Amino acid sequence: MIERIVGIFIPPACREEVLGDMRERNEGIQLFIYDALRTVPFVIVSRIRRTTDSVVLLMEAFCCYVSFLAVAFVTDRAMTSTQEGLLRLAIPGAIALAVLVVADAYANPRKKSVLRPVLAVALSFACVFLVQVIHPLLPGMMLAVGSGMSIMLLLALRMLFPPLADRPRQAQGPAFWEKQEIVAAGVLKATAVAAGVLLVGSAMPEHLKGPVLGIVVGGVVIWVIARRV
Amino acid sequence: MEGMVDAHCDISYNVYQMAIGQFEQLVLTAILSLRDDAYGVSIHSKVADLAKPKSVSLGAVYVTLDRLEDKGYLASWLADPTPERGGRSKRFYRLEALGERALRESVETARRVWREVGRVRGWLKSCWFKL
Repeated sequence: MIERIVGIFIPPACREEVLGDMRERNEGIQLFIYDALRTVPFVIVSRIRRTTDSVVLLMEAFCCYVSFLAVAFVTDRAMTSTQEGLLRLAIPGAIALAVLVVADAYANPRKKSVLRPVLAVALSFACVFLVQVIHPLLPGMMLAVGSGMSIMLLLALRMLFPPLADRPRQAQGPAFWEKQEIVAAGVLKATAVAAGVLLVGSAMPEHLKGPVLGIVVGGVVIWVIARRV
Repeated sequence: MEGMVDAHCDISYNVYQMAIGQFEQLVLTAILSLRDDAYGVSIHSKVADLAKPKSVSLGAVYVTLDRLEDKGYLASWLADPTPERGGRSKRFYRLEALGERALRESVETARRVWREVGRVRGWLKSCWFKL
């Protein structure tokens, strides 16, 4: 019984061996539960790391945000002119992507299905609507149209870059190499730096924005020149 | 075939510069010494032996095994189910050519560091005697 409950939390891809190992190590139920509490979180995090490609995740986040931003720009332009409004537009996408990441981690690689990418995206936006029912995130119409656009873009992206568990594995090649983040590590770093600068810059007092922006741009120019030399 | 393996190793080292940490080194050593009996529980107990007096959790071993497998240092396969595990299978691990090479380089580095430490200690001792 306890094994079954613990098994629910372990991703199917590694459930068999992890449960077997814990059973072999522990005789009593208490020891088994204690071991499960110490082991299962690591197993979940490791599976998420294996199935998540940060560059693809970044593209998905961008698609979701742009969808909601476009809808807000057409239906309620005032929302796009305040920081709070821009932040609210990011919440549905963030919830959907969090669910999507977990759904990918808990996908069973032994059960291949053509519908899996569609179902995962549908599940993620079902969760967004569930949250909307409990605590309204955005006006209903905006959420519906934005979600529709996001779903279409996410499906297109998932056709181009399927979840790692669904991709055909190359013979003898490390799984690590199949991630886009290996190819586009520079893009990822540059995006993170740009996002960080914008985030810090937006929260800065007006009189400091000019000098700080100048220093940042100057620093980037010097860095680029130094690298070329 | 050997040339292919070497080319494979060179690509991974030159392009991605994948070095291994101390814990990864322990896990690779455990798998190397366990040979055909390297699975979760046996690897964990071997790593715990090697890492004494530090304690090692099974979760940390799984995370490292996954990472090393992704890097292509290990290969794994599921064996037949056994009754003492409640009819569940074991996942066995084997060191790949890349893993062996990474471990060898890591050991070489540790040896160079130790030689350097010995040299500095010898120099310090000679300074002490001069005083």
